[in-house]
Amino acid sequence: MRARSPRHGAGRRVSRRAGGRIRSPFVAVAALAAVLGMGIPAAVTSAYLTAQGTATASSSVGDWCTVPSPSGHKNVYRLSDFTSVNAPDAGGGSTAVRMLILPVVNDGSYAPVQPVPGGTAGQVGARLWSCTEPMSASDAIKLTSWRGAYGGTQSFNWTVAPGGTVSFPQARLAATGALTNAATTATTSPGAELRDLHRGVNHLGGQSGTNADPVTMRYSWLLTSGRTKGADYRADPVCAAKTCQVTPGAGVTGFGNVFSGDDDAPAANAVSGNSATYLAEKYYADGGVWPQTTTQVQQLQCRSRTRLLTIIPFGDWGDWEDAQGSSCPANTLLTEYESRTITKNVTADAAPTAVPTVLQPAGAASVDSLLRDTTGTKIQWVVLEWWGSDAPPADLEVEVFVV
Amino acid sequence: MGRHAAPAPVRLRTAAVLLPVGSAVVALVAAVALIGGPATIAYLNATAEQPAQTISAGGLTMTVTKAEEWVSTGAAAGSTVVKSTAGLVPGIRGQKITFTIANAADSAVPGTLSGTVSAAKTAAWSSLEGQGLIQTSAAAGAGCQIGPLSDAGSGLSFPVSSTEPLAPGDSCTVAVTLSIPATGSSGQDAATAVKETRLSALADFQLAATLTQAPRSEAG
Repeated sequence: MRARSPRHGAGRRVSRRAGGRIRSPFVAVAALAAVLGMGIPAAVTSAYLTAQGTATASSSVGDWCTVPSPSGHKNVYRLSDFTSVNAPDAGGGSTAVRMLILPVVNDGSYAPVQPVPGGTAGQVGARLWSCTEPMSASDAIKLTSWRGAYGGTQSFNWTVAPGGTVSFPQARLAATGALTNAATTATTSPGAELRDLHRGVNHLGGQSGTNADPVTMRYSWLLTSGRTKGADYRADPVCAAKTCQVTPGAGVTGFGNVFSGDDDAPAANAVSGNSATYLAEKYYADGGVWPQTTTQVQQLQCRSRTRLLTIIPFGDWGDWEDAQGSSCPANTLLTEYESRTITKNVTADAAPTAVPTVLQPAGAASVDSLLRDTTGTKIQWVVLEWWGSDAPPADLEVEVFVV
Repeated sequence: MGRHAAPAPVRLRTAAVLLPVGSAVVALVAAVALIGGPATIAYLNATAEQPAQTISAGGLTMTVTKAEEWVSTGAAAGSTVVKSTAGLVPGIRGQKITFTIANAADSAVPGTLSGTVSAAKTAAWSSLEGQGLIQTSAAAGAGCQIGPLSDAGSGLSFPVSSTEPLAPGDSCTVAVTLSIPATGSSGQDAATAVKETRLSALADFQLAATLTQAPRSEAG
């Protein structure tokens, strides 16, 4: 046992010595490999740390209600910008009103801001704009259009005269002048005359006998009582006879009856979103001429000559004249008759009807020739008026256009 | 006795050799396996989406955030009424988008920023652009800088970088501002002209950024 003990002891020593010589290099290699494999920080390996990221933000278009900008569209007028003038009252006295009188021609300057639903090319109209709800229920508005009667030497009294750099929509006929309540004369100021015609205190002498009414012959309906943004927005002025009267009615009280401030409103009647359109209609044809029709009829005519004893002609035949009856008179002892039937044109008044108020293109016409047109086909004088105690919203506008 | 005892040390020495070699091989294999992706051991990448994006890569952490702000661009004299609570309104309301890129305070190293802000145009954008009614500008805050705005027709982009490496805890911003003018170059009323684009999407602006550990010489 003792002898084996040293062997055993010697064997363990040998083993330790062998391990010390052989195991150490392998362990060192393994440790080095592990260190390299585990990854030395980038700073030691010349590599760099990085981090990446993204962020996203969305952009979109908002929603809005809009009305045309008067600065960009000269034919758009804010109610709050209307001129304050004194106008005569029908019962005497005067009252302060807010009014604009515009010379409207078809030269492109009154082009609609947006396409106009319906309407005839060249037709005059007005469109009301707003984004305000609700609007005054007590204020009133009235828009009319007139054929000119200033072909003579009348002088125009302008607040802003057209011509040069001033376009027609920028021009303002002065609505001032004598508060006479009188019929117009050759010396009547056009501005005062139109102001008073619009307000119904000038009847231009009035209708008399079989003569047509002078106011009716010049008037075009835009917006007065009887027209709203509802179903009757395009109602026609109607007369039953040539001598009837169609004159400006009262204004429409309550802006909400004629304006639409609701941009989401469905298009219906006069309303298209936040606007309402009114097209000018007149009762008389251009120039105030009543429309007529011509028809052809078979007309019996008679002529006669003198004779003696029924057989001896004496004298020449007279002129052909329309027969009063269905036959010519019978021959007599001293008179011989002859008959014939001819085709004849007969002109008669047409049935009463309203027609769109249409302006022909101005072309190269001069400013003065346009202003002095009396047919109503070159110029229409549009009068805009509102009144009431409530100040209108800043975005309440009237656009005057020519389709 | 001496002959009888001699073979025992030989057996012991063979076993002693095999054991550490095996251990070393196992350790090496384990080390390699633990690392994974031996070709990319120098770079660690990660991406994530907003909001509150925090990307960590070893000792470098970047945060990218965005802020959207509706800003007044003027008034249209009462002719335009804003109805929605968001979105561009001609002449009245624009949008400012601000991206903030930060090297986190707990990052171990400074980082150099590089990236791109880009946006694809929608049909509404093209419509506005066709009428000359979209205005876009970009600006960089302190520490950031931007390159020229590039318009490829179908989209916009501009490069973003840092003026110097962002130290841990530092950040910088880049901003994009959008607006629709009240009046176009030809005098058209924008609010009326672009009514059909209301409530339409315009673009998604995306900042894709990379923060790279700055070389020691740059980091100073």
